[in-house]
Amino acid sequence: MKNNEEMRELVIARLSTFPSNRKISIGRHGELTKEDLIRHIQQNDDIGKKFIEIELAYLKALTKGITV
Amino acid sequence: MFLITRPSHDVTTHYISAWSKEIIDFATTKNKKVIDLSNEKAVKSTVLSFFKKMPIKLVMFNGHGDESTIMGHNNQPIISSPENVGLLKSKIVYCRSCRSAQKLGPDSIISGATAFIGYDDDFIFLYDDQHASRPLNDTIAGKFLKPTNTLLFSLLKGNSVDVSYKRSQEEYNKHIEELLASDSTAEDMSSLRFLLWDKQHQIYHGDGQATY
Repeated sequence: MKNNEEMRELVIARLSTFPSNRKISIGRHGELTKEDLIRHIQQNDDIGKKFIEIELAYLKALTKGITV
Repeated sequence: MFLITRPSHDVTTHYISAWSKEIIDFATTKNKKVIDLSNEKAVKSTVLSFFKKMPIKLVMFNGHGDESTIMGHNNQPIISSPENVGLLKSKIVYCRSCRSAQKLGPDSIISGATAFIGYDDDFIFLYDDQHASRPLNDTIAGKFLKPTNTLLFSLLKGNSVDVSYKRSQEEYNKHIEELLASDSTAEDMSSLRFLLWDKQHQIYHGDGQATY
């Protein structure tokens, strides 16, 4: 990934399939909708950075092959 | 004796409180004495009072938290490190909250806790907004909360901390496998990243062979 902006764009694009009727409870950060999450990623704040960390961990697992 | 805190002052705590009821029911069927501190009773003064009076060996804290603190009703701190972490001495502790296994967990073991199970990063779950008033009907949230309940069921059956942790991890795997199945919808698959996250960040410290 060349830079953080590209990474943010990738993560936002991957959120497109996220259902609008579902909310995400991220502990002390409260309850977020998909739109909230996209806004946090665009603002590059703590919640946005946390979600990018989660998405990168997920992509890494997919690349390695998810073993259960 | 088993003590459980169940604050319920926001959507997140409302969900984990509701999903904790089956743990209490299960403990009762196993003839275990349960001290259920729900809503306003989930505060430091009440918890400390029971810790002083009763031989509590197993504790489950539900609620918000951070690296060094477990919180109760209205996010008031119950246990903090280093302030009162020593109160967990000789107890098996399970913390369904964010990050507490990062610092509070290891600190509790140094202070004499038998074992500390929790999450070393944020504990995340998805829920369906249409079920927010009836959390137990929310199958999406169930995929995240059932593996955490499994750990308590196992401890209450008399299994060790290590065995119970592995049972919980297996339950995570079961739900992950279901989501990886070819007939999963894109909506269902959206849960996968968060389930993997919770599974990877659930850890324990202390004596894995300890039993309740």
